[in-house]
Amino acid sequence: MSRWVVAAAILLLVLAGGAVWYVRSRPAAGPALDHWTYVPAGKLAGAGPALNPDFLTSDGKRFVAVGNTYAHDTRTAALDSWTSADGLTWRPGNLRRLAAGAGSYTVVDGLARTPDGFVVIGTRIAPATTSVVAWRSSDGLNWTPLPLPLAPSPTTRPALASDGTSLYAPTGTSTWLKLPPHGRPRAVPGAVPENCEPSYRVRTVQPGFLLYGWCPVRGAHGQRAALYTVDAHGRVRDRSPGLDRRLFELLAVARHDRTLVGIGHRYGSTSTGPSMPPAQPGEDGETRPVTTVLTRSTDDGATWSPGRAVSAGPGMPADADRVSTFGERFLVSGTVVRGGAETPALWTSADDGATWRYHRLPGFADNGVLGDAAGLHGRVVIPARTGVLPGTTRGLFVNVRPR
Amino acid sequence: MANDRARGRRAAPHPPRRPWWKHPLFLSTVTGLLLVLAPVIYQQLTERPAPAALGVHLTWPTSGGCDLDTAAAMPAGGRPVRDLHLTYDEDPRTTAVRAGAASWETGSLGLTLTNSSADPIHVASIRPQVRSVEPKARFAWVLRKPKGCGGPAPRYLRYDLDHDRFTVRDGDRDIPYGSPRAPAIPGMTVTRKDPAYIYVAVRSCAASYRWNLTLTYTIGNRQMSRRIDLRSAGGVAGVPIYDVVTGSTGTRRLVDTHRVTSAKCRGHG
Repeated sequence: MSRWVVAAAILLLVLAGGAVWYVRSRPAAGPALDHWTYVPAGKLAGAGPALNPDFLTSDGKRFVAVGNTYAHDTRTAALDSWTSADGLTWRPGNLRRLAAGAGSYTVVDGLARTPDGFVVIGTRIAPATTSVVAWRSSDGLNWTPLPLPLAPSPTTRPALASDGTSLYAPTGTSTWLKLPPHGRPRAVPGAVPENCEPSYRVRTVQPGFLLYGWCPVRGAHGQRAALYTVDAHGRVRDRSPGLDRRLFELLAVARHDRTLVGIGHRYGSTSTGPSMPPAQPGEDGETRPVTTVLTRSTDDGATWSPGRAVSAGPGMPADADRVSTFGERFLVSGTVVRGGAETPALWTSADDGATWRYHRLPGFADNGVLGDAAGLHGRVVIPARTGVLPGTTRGLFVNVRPR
Repeated sequence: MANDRARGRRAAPHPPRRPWWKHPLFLSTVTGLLLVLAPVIYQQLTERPAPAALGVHLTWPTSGGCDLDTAAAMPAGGRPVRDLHLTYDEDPRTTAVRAGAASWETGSLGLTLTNSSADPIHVASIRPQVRSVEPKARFAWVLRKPKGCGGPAPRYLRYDLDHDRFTVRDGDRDIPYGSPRAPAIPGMTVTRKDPAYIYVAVRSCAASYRWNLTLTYTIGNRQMSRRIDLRSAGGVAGVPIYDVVTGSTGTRRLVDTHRVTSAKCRGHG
């Protein structure tokens, strides 16, 4: 063998090694999620009503938030919208004036992005009646009413989903309302089996149509986790069969290209990781331990990894209930009990959900939880909240290094 | 001329062809690779399984923020209550105990047992034992957390220090631990992938106690034990009560209730 062949082989090896090194060390697309700082609400800038988002999103040009704030004087909930270019200075829109009525108030139910802006949906509650209301805006500041032929359902709250082109609103029955960008709303068949419909959650704050939750089944636990995807052509795919059979519900799902990451619950402690503490027999009738797990699919939901317990370390079980994507990076949020106190926690992945890193966040309130995460120009913000219906925003976690 | 050329060729013959595997480039590459890989290979060849080790993660005197029954009491001469650094990273009663306080009347002990090795650890027994009793102890303050999500603290095992009674919860009954009628405690085998969780509700209404909990466990044919020292108290009248609440600025705040403890225990435990 000539020396040239040897030299060529070595050169090829070096080139291959370099390529592997480059691919493995290449930073993932998306904002860095390594450092987090808590910014109390009092340190956020802006005039008008204090930022209090129930829903938060971004269209790549601005953050847009909507939420209810309890008004002690009127004992009703005001509905506001805010926008921000940096996540720290927030400017209110005109939604409060539109949403308020004589003797009535509006509870926000969803925020969706459309090709030309944003749509908010809510339930207007008056002394004698309730009705579904919606507004649209191109900038998150100036909103105009969007008439929707939707009647309030006694069993479900209104919701919005976007497939990137059209908006969909489940009507509480086996039909959905489809709102094309141009043209009149029309009824279309529902995307999931009818008996699952009340139990589904709809991903509302980002385009990409994912329906997840559970469906009732006969058997040991009475329900199974379920997931349906709807593409831009309205095609529905049942992605439930590939899910870990031990999952009895999906709490959240996010997508990046063909990778899906889901958070769910399963009964029992198994061999795939630490489990939640066993429920206490006789305390509340529940005797089965429940574990919060993370599961991943790299083939658009056809097959899924076994559920892996969400944890903050060996023997440190955790709760998680939200997952978001920022390019190739995934972000899961939840809580961990430390020192007898429940504190917020994040898990981030820079490799499309293959490996995860736990981030301990400072506690900011008793029973504090994390809201929707949204990103803009590398900045990611996560509301830090307490309470429900309406909750209170105590501050924001921002992906910058603490000073 | 032709002879000169022939002589010249003979005078400068080609060197013998070197085999490719003796080529300096190849040899230096192989040597480099060996140098890089040698530590890894050595580590793989010499690595032994880590010895089984029981990890004990303790939460005390409360197992979660929803528990409103548990309080903490600081022995006289201990750190002043105003000197506690209260944050949302830790329950204020846990902060007090870390500063030297005892659980007051009610305590909730949570143990998470982990195993870092491949060999399973079998927890053979859990035994509490009172080391000292001080009926007339003096305390400087009692700290409570009156607001939260509420709900009972988890309790499966229960230890009544006043009567030295250790029981297992079975439905709505408490059965002496270790008796044949007592239900088996789940999760008493700890593996790398399956930690075990133990909750003990502690009651102390008549004195100040120093006590410990001893876990006896086996790894293979070896028996080992781990002891946890704890302190609980109750039944002392006249101790000032402080509450921890959330202030208007969103931070924890200490409130002097201007009330004092009574010699009678709160609640029914």
